[in-house]
Amino acid sequence: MSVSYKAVGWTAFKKRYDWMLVVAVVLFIGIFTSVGLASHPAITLEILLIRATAVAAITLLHVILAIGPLARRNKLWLPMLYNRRHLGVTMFLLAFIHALLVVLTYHAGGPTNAIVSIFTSDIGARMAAFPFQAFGFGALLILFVMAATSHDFWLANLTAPVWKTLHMGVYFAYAMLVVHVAFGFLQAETSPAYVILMGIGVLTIGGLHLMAGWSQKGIEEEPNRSPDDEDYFEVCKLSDLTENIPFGNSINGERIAVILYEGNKVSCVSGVCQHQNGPLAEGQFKYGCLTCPWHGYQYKPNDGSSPEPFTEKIPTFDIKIVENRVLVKGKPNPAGTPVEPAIYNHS
Amino acid sequence: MSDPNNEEPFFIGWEEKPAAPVSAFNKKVSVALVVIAIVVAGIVAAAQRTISTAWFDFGNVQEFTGVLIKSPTPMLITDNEVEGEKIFYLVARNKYGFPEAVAEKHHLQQIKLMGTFLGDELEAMIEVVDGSVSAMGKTDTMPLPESEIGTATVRGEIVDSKCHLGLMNPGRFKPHRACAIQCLMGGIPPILVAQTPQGQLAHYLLVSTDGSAINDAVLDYVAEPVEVTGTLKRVGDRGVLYIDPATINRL
Repeated sequence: MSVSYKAVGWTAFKKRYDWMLVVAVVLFIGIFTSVGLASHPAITLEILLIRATAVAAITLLHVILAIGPLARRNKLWLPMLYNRRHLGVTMFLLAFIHALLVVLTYHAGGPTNAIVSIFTSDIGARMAAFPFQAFGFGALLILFVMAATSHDFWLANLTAPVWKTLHMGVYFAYAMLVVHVAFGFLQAETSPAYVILMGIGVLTIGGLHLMAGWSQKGIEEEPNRSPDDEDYFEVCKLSDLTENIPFGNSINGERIAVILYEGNKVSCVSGVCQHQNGPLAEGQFKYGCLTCPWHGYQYKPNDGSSPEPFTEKIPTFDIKIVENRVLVKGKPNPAGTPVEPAIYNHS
Repeated sequence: MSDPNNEEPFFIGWEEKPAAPVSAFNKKVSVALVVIAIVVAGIVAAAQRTISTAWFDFGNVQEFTGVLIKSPTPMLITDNEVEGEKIFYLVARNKYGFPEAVAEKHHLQQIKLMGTFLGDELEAMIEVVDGSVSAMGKTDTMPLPESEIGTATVRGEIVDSKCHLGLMNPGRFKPHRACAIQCLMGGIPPILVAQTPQGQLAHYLLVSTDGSAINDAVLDYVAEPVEVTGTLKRVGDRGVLYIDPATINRL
């Protein structure tokens, strides 16, 4: 959390993370070029680098896309997610170097403008003429927009919902890159190893996202209205609550987080973090606040506001306990509105 | 209710030190990711199958002397073997063919030029330095024997000769299609890369039935399996197919 913008708010953890990233990328490129030159001495260096940067970028994209669902299933993955934007920017830079080398090698130096050549050399319905390069170009544009707006400055100015929607474009970019690879490189290099690796990648990403979606299934279901008060919804039983661990549900399509804390207090706030729309219901009650699992943004359960000096606020919900049922009012209060916690009488 | 001291591990990035289980798990994940990076990089690099033996002697500009002929494509027949070759296709820099006017002017002349070697085990080429061709004398005799073999049907892939002979390696197949089209548009002579029944590669220079350049007519057939029928001739040890582009069939 921060109260002002810095290029990067460096911490010891972020430095270690980025060093690991640099080591992994350098190792990847180094091994690819070494093995490539050793096994195929006549390969030209620019093509070796075109391939090395492409494979590094798409491998890193798979890691990036896998981290989200893995962290939803197991919170031990959260550190990988914490600095994921640095992975994204690095992946874009690798993809950009790949594209630059492709344009200089394959398209520049001829009678047609190099950028025009990308879109005019493959036109037709045949496999040989399938415009795989246009798909790569489109994916690069999406990745550029994402990398350029990855900083919290853009997050704050675009607002979290817009920013999040924009960054969901990574899935379009991924789909376009799968097409780019399948109708480009895989049409030339026919080793089964490539199809197997790509297949493993696509199935892994698809499978992890399906599993993560399945685990959210219950949250998407609308809870029952309270028979006692039509304004309230029965979001859970008291027995569903675990101290300091939020319980997630949704009312009228809005995600909520119900939290039992400080022994007997029960509050309900929006389940959507103000920072990146992170899933607050998957967080924990830490240091007196409901804490987002993604980047540690915090909100006091009784009023939805961040501890000073921070200024983020989320909506709160009126809450009451009737017998063993936790009832939450359907209409949220404005962000930062104090709400008296319901008291869980353990007797 | 659970014991608050027994919560599941949780990570907050701004905390000074992550919980021990979180830290231990992520050390293992980091090692696993590095191992995956090494394995993926190694497998993908080693499994490449499209790399040929062609090479471009980049940076080594040398003098070549010999007789220039303008057709079926500009070639230099050198006085002495260079890299085991005496017949060289001539091209210009980047994605351009040898200037027609220069070929016309020096046809059947003894010349010298500056250029860079490129080639594979079948054929060779010189990337000629612009303006480096100079006449040394005149010869009236065709320096290469020509013979007609007959009608031939050959299956293969149409590529630009410069990239295939080593400017790029690999200089064939789908990812290279755009480059091949640019090279052919720029006047680099097209060749058909075929496979002999013994599994060896064979090259055939493609020209039209009247011997003129056929580049524009084959652009749409680049980098895909085709069947070509035409009159096969030998010019020196080079195979030249004189074809009607309308007879090219996609396979």
